[in-house]
Amino acid sequence: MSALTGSPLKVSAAATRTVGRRKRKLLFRSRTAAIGFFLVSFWVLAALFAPVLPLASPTQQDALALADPTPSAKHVLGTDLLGRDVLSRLIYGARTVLTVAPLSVAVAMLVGITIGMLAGYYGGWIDLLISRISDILLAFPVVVLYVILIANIGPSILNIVIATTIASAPGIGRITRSLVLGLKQQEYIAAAKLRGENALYIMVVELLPNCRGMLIVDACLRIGYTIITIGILGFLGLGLPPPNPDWGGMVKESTTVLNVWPLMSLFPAFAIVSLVLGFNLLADGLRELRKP
Amino acid sequence: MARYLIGRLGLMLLTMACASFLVFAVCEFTPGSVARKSLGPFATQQQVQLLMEKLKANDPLMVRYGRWLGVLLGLIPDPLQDPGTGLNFTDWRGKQYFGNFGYSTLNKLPVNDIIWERLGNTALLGGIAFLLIIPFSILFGVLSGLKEGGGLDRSLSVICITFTSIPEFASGVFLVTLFVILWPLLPGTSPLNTDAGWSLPSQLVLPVAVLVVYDFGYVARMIRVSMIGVMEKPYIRTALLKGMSTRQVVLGHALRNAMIAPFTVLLLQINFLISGVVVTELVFAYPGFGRLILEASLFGDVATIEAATLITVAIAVTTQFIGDLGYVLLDPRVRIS
Repeated sequence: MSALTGSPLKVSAAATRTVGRRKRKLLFRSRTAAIGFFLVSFWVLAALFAPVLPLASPTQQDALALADPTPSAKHVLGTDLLGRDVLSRLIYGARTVLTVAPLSVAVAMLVGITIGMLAGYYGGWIDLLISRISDILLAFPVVVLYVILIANIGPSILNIVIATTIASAPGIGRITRSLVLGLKQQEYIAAAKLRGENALYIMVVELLPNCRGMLIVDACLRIGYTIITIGILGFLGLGLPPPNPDWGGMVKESTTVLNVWPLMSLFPAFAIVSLVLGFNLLADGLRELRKP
Repeated sequence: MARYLIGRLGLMLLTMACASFLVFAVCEFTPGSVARKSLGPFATQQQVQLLMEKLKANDPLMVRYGRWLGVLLGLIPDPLQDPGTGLNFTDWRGKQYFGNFGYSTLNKLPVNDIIWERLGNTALLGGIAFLLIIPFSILFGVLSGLKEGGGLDRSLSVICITFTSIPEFASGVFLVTLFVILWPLLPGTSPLNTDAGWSLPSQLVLPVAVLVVYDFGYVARMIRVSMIGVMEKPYIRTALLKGMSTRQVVLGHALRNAMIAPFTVLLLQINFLISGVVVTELVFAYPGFGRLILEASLFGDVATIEAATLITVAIAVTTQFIGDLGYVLLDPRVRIS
C-alpha cells in the first residue's frame, strides 16, 4: 500500500520542483519581474545585514554635521535635522518597514482567507453576515479608517497590524470567496465530500492550494500598499514613536527645510518608491506567470 | 424597480448606522477626552470632572451613542448647547433640528458651519483630479490593451506601475522640489486665498497633479485588462477581416465594450480620492475635508469625525449604487432580477 501511494507522490513532488524551477527561470526572463525582484532583494538584504554593514548609528547625533547636512564622505547621503546619518536611518528604516508590512499582511491574509473560505464554502446566512460586515468596512476610505483607528488606539506595531487587518481582511475575504465559489463546483470537491472528508480538510487541503496563485499575487500587491500606508501614517505624524527610523516620518520632518536641503526629503521618498515599485513589479511578473 | 431602490436606500442607512456606531465606539473608547480638550491643558482635574458630569460623558457607550443619534435626528437638543456647561456654544440653526451634527470641540463651532465648506473645497480638488484621471487612464489603458505583450503595452505598463508606486506624500515632495524650489513656477501651498499673490488655478495645479499621478495608473491597468479581453473576441476579428481600419474597430466596437467593467472601477476612485486628499491636503495646506478629518482625529473631536464618517460612507455607498445602475445602462445583458 505504501509502495503504491509512495511513487505517485514522489513523481508529483519532482514535477512540482521542475515547474518551480521553470517558473523561476521565467521570472527572470520577464525584465520587469526581474527588476522588481532585484529592488525587493536589495532592501531585504540591506535590512538583514544592517548591523554588520559599516554604518553610523541611526540614532547617534553628529553635532558637526548640523551646520551642513548635505552629503559628505562621512555621511554619504547626508544627515537629518538632528544630525543623524540618513543612509543608516534609511537602512534601519527598511528593517522596520520590512517587518511590519509583511507581518500585517500575513495576519490580514490569515483573517481574510478564513472569512472568505467560510463565506464561500458555507454560503447562506454565514455568507450574508460576513459579506455585509465586509461591505461596511470597505465603505470607509482606507486612509480615513487608518487615521481614525491609529489616532485613537495609538501608534505601535501591534496597532498597525490590527488596523491593516481591519482595512485589508474584507478585501482579501471577498477575493477568496469568489475563488471558492468558482472551485466549489469542481468534481474533486464533490469527491472529497463523498469520501467523507470534513469541511476543514476540504478548505485547507483541497480549496486553499487552488486559490494560492491569485492570493500570492494579491499579498504581494498588499505588501506594497501597506508600505505606502505605513509611510502615510509616519508622514501624518501617526508613525512608530521615535527614535525608530521611519521613512514616512523622515520625509515629514525634513519637508520643513525642503527649500534649503531638498535631498533630506528626497532620499526617504525615493526609498519608499523603490521598495513599493519592487513589490508591484514582482506582483505583475507573478501574475504574468500564472497565464498558461 | 421601486422596491429595488427602497431596498438599496435601506441598506445604505443600515451601513451608515453601523459605521457611525463603530466609529463612535473607537473614538469614545476613552470618554472625557472631549472635556479635557475643550477646557485646555490648564484646567484642574475638578473642572474636567465637573464638565464631564454636565456632558454626561460617564454614561454607558450605548446611552451616549443614542444621545448622539437623537441630536442628529433633531429629537433632543445638543447637551453641549446647555448654558450650564459654560462652553458658550450656540447654533443659529436652532436648538434641535434634523441633521444636527453637534459642536466641533476643535473649532468651537457647529460642525455644520465648517464641514460643508471644507467638503466643497475638496470636491473642487477631487473633481478636477477625477476629470483628468478619466481621459489619461482611458488613453493609457486602451493603447496598452490593443496588443498584449507588445512593445507599447510593456512600456506603458511599466509607466503605470511606476506611477502607482509613488505615494502622494512622495510625489508631493518631488513636484514641490521641481516646480517650487528648483524652478519657481507654482506655489508650494494652496490655502485657497490670494494673499500671497498666487491665483487660485495656480494653487490647484500641484495638488491635482499629486492625486492624478498616484491614481491614474491603477485605473489604466484595469482598463487594459478589460481591453485585452475585448480585443480577443470573435466580433473584433470579424470586423478587422471585413476590412475595417483599426481605428474604426477600436472606436466603434471595442471601446464601449471595454469600458463596461472599468466603469465601476472609475466610480470607486471617488472613494479612493477621499483617502488621497487626506495626505495631499496636508502637504499643500489645502483647507479641505481630508485635513479636517485628520485634525479632528488627532484632537479627538468626535462630533466632526462622526459627521465626516457619515458623509464619506454616504458618498461610498452612493457611488457604488450609481456604479450598479450605470452597469445596467452600459450592458443590456445585465438586468435587475
